[in-house]
Amino acid sequence: MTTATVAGISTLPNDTYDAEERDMAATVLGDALDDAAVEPGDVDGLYMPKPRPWTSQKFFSTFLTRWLGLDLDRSLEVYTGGTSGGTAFRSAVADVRSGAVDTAAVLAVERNSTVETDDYFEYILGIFDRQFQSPMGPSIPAVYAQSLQRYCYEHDVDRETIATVVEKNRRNAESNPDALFYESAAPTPAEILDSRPISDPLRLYECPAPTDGAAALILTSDGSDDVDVEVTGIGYDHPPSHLIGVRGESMSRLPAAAGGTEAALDDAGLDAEDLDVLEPYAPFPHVEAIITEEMGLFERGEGARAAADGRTATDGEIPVSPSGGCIGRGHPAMVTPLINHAEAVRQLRGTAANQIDGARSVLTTSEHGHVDGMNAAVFEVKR
Amino acid sequence: MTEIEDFAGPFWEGLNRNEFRVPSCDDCGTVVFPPGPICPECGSDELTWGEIDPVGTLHSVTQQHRTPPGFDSPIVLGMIDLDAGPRLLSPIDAEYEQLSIGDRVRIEAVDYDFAFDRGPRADDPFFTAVVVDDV
Repeated sequence: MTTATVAGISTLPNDTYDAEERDMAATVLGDALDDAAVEPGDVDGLYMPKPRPWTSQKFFSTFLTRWLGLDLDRSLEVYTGGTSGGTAFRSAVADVRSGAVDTAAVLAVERNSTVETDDYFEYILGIFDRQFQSPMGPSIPAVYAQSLQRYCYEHDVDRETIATVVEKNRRNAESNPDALFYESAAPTPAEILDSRPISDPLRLYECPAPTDGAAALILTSDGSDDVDVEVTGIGYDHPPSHLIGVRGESMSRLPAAAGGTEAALDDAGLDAEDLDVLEPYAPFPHVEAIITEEMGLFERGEGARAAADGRTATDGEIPVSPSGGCIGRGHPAMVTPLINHAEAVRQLRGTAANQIDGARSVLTTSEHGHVDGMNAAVFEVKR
Repeated sequence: MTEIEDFAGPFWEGLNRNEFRVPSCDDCGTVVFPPGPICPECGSDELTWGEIDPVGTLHSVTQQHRTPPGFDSPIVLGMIDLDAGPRLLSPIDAEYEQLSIGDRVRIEAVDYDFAFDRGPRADDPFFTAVVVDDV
């Protein structure tokens, strides 16, 4: 099997952009190709999450293909919510491994600044069960609020402990120039719990800020000239779950997180304890905690307390979200999975904003709905 | 020509009479909700419709402050584990502050009056949960 190497990366800082999506996409793609020292004509696979429904340009990948003169053996434009970027990446890795493609470009772009809040809420209604759930008017935070409620109830975790996960990620973002909250003082747990309620008990600072963003990665079959970052594991799992969890299972459990990460670690031949860094897709603080529990890194109910005790800080035993994650960086959901991947590559190149000394393996995740399905990827450095 | 079945149709017909009608699996006994073509536990397509008593326990609860256009704010929503087996998301006709995980609730039919296009279910009632103390 051919090894997929990450030869190039590029990200735009999460922010508000007036530029059109096509120009943002072409900019990160060009920068990633430069980083990889690859010519556009070498790209034979293009993989991307379908831009959000409010993006005016449809058939985005087809448009790019002609605009940039790409001649492709494979292309994919996929939409499954927050997993989309991870699924595009997983498909690209599979095609490089199989030999179907030699140079894969994985690309994502999103502008949340162009959608009105009412229109966004109407769109979100459509992801719920149209017959049995949408008519009651639910939002995504309303679902995560209930798993948070359940997590605190079952494990006797107080809200201040949950808020320390937010505080950690906001502190990490303070020193990440790509983060929305770069150089913005992290709120204290008291300030977090005093921010306005979104869906009780979730508060504003516990929810990810929607932003604009774009990112690209170049995967090749023949490695790169200097530091080789290889994708050694990819995994996916989707138990029978759609927003209200798996039948008979508590909402405080995330079976897809266990299955997806286990599959990726098996593919890489690693155990969770072997990992040096995690960059999970965790839009709400308890999700980050539960993912670490589902991976077996902490006992059930101990994931949030681990953050409170500094065990997941940049100088802790297993740094989680050193980039700031969704909460510290802001969250363009189509782009977030690729930002996680780019942050993993930076850690392994030794160029991350919050560099973890000696990092040699990083795991990333992406999820959709209420972590109904999860992609996971393992990156390792081969020097 | 193959006839396309309205898999949840009998549920809505029952709700019009304030009956909670759902299919159950003939092979493993699983109560299927939302009503569908097969048993999601064992895959059997041998399902039989019947009425259940829609009482259950509050698995979790939230008060959602920002709501879609056409909906009142705030709304109280909960996940309810019915004694018969299924979990469902439901509005709750109660003050958020009065609710706790573990509360006993019953699902009841209510007139639907929000500005959401329910398509072919537009004229059907919807449902809400009310707290009950005696079951």
